[in-house]
Amino acid sequence: MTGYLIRRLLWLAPVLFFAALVTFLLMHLVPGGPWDTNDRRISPELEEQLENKYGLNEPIWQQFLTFSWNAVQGDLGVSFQYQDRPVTSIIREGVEVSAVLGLMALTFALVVGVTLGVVAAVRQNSVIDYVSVFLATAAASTPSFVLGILLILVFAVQLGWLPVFGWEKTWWLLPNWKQAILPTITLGALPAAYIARITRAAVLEVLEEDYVRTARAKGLQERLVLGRHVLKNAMIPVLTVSGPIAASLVTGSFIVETVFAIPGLGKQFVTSVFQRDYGMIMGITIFYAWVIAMANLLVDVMYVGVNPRIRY
Amino acid sequence: MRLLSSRWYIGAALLLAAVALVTLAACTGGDGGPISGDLAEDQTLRIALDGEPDNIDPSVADFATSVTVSKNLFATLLRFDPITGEATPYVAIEVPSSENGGISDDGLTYTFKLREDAVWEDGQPITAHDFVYAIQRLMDPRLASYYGATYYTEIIEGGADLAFTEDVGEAAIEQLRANVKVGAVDDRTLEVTITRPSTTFNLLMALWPTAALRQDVIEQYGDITNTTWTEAGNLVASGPFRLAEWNHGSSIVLERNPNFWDAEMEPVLDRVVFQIIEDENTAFAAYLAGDLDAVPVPVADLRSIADDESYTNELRRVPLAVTLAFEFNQTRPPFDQQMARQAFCQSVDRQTLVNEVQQGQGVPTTSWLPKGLDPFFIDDRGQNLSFDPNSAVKLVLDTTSGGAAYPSVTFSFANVGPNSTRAEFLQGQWSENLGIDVTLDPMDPPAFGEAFGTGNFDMALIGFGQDYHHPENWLLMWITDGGLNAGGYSNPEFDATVDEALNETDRDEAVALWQEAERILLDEDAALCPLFNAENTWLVKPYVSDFVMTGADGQPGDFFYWKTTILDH
Repeated sequence: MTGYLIRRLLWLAPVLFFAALVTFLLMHLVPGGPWDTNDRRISPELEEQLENKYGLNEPIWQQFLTFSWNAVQGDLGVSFQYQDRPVTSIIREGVEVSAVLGLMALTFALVVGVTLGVVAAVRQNSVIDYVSVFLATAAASTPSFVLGILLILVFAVQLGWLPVFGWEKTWWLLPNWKQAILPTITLGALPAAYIARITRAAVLEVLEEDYVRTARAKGLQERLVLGRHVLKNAMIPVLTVSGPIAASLVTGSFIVETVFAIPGLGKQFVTSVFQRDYGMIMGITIFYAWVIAMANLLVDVMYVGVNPRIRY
Repeated sequence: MRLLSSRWYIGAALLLAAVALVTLAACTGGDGGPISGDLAEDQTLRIALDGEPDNIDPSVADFATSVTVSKNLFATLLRFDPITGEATPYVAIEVPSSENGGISDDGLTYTFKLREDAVWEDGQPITAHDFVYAIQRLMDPRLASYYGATYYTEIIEGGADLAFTEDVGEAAIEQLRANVKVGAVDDRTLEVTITRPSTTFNLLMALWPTAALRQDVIEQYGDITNTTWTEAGNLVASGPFRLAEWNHGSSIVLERNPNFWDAEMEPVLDRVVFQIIEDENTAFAAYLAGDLDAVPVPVADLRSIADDESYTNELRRVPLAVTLAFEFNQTRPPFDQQMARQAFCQSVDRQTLVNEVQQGQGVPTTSWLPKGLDPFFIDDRGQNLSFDPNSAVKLVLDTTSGGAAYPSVTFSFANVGPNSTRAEFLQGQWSENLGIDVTLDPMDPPAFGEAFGTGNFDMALIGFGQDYHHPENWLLMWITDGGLNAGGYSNPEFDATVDEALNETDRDEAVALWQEAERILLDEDAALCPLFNAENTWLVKPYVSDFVMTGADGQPGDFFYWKTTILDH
């Protein structure tokens, strides 16, 4: 196990390196640079000063080496758009928001998704099953900007129960709970629907297994059959999809962050691409690559706990 | 895009560096005048800001959001009169002129006398040295300021040498800084030498980039480009407000500056809260829920809100000093011919464009100078370009008399906000009225910027927002190789007229010359095709009094936060 972990962690370096290389090349291949966001042409003299300032006058391979060398030391450079603010500090501020919102949404998705899925499977073809399948389908087919605005109109504008926007930290990184409810639901709805579907299918499959029949035959209470034999085995596919879902949730959602005016990282990432903010694009991509790699690793380790047959 | 961010509407749809200064004020619909009533206990104005400002450092601020915050924090020598757009005193005691001895006989040296009582937020006096530092910093090559390079480096003696130096070593820069002809004669007297006599230099000294800056404050937190000094708690203000909070990505809170020194501009408001909300639908919902006092109207809802009587007291509409147009590439057929340019322009029904595509937002125009730029603006300017499909068809037939196939034509634009529907409308007009199929080429903003800047287009959608209230700001960019002139327009007669106008000191003569220049540009050469002037459409709660919107606002009302009050409600 320890050897496996070390091997996986060592692989991280080449993965990140190639992610950085590909992003770097693509970024420079796309037409338009960081100073082309104005329509008024900037003078060649000013362009030269800007390129000097950010080192863009150097050969491209040298720029990449400089970036890589600095990144290894934890320096991701500066943002072009936000007048030289360090990329690491912008990422930190964004992550503190996106990750908290993402974890809330993940919790919501797991609790709601697994519950709906199990209930639907156990009471297959009953009204409860139809209702939960309907809810899952509805959640899966409603785009988050529609759901977000809809929730705002009902719960914030009409009923006045919850605030329309914002993310004010109250204790440590946690936000005002009232502000967190709507974005959590909006962000968590789609993964909840997905998890519900997977759970339902997995539970139905496991219910057909011989060992479940055996457990029932030996007179075990249905509650224990479900808890001890069915759920544990049905959780493997759920766990498999949870890794990528967690990674995508904690890295932030452009749409949800925009709709609820939340200062997260997802918004920063999309903006940086459209601004050709080279510093920010590289910094955030590397960070995302790292998060996704770590999430996959975490899931692989957790398999061991769920399924004793898996060993590394 | 930033899908829903209206900063992109400004940054790319209107394509502005900044919808900046100077007002065409009071002539407009949204009166925002005083409403009777008692003042509310809580004097807080809560207003939507459509994006996190890139920065609030006046030397580099170039987007509307940045400029709005910056100009409420930092005082300049002069400021703009809200009615006339002329420069009036701010930190300076008077506007320099030949009569008062502020401008030397050769027109090259300006002397500004500073108020004795002007102080920074921390009580230190605002001195001529603070302005010297700010102007030198504006041209520092390490800062590479867009506004510095666009408006100041050429006119201020020694500026270009500093800004565009090859050698950015510390010693070389120090030397070049010393050579910039801006100096403090004493603590209260500033002297600036310019490279040629100018009728607009006072206007430039009323723009935010020349605001006084504190060397000690900036250098306390790092080198010349550091941003730490603009964080709340570090920044030292000189304007009517001080920076109380900057929660990046969420909100910016300004507070009344307790040490503000100008009795006229002393604010009534205790606080201005900018909520950073990029999605205009969210801002609108917050307005309906009572969480915000002023928000932009989502364009899709403009028609229904304008027709809804319950919003009559809240809807404010103010035409902006912003013109949208399309530009021709005159180095390629068919637009190397004046007749082709005129035909493509004459076949566009601007009124329908504004009514249908714009939901009524905007004012159709055939002039490049915006309405209200008096006395330079002429009502029937560009008459040869107004909607006339019959004439347009005839012109196209004339250009194609050789019988050859019509050259293929592409229309390029930055694909953000409503630009694609605008482009589709234009495409329909050309197809319908000229029988010519134009290909649309939507691009993301930087890609468009590059294509446009390098002249790689047939026709391109452009826009410009005024920085200062003078035709120089609008027409200088159309001389050969000028700032917005990427389509290779070059007419020696136009260039000569602009040059003459720049150097003309007699006011009436200058007015006539600027008008002649625009006539050549549009009526004679059809170098571009103006479409409409943009418009600010905002909802403002009825209890907000004296929220005065002008044609040159960055964010609506931003010239007059000091005047605005909140009534009991």
